[in-house]
Amino acid sequence: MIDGANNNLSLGKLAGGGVTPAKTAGAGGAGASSFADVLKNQIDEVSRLQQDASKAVEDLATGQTENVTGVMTAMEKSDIAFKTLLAIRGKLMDAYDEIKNISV
Amino acid sequence: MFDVLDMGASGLQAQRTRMDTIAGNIVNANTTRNAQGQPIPYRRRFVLFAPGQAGSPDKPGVRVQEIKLDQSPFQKRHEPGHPDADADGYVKYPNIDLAMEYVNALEASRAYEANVTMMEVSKQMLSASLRLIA
Repeated sequence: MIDGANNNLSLGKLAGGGVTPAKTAGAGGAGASSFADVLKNQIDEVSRLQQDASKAVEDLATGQTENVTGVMTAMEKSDIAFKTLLAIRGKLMDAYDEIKNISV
Repeated sequence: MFDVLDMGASGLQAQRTRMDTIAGNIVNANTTRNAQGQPIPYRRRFVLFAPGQAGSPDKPGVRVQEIKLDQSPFQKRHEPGHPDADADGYVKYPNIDLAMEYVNALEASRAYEANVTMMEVSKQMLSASLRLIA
């Protein structure tokens, strides 16, 4: 999941294309996928992992599957993905606060 | 990022299948008849592992390729009064050595624990890298 983000977010591309998400979202139409697209894809991925996990738990509770390891693995994946998303969100908020405090 | 968790899960599933096979062997160690009631004893089964995950053999992991029957000869015991005895009074018993099955069961459970430890360690590594960001 994060590997896909790293592939698209090489440092050179970020330095060249601007730092704020808002700016790259505005220029998102040109060429390769922008930061906003990457972020949206990763959020969709996290959502899909969470749905997989809840469905797996439901199947185990109703007895449709006996694969306990599969259920636990799905839950671990969704947990790690969500914590990663929270950490990225924290970094984005910090970056936004810094930019907001730039005095003209 | 989640490859290692998928690999560990495939290992756990494979060891679980191996444990089920060993349990079947231990339970049927004295079965002199098959399911249809004929005097053919239970043949020992063992699992064949192959690389690749069960659903997608390209990804790294382990899967059970086949559950094979052990072709070694049956044990023969001299019991003339047994209903399954042949003309010489010998009864064929399954080719299962309980001591070997116990050791195999121990191996399977240790392998299961090793897989679980590996998954926990990788989970801790991922959490540690999250601390870097946050």
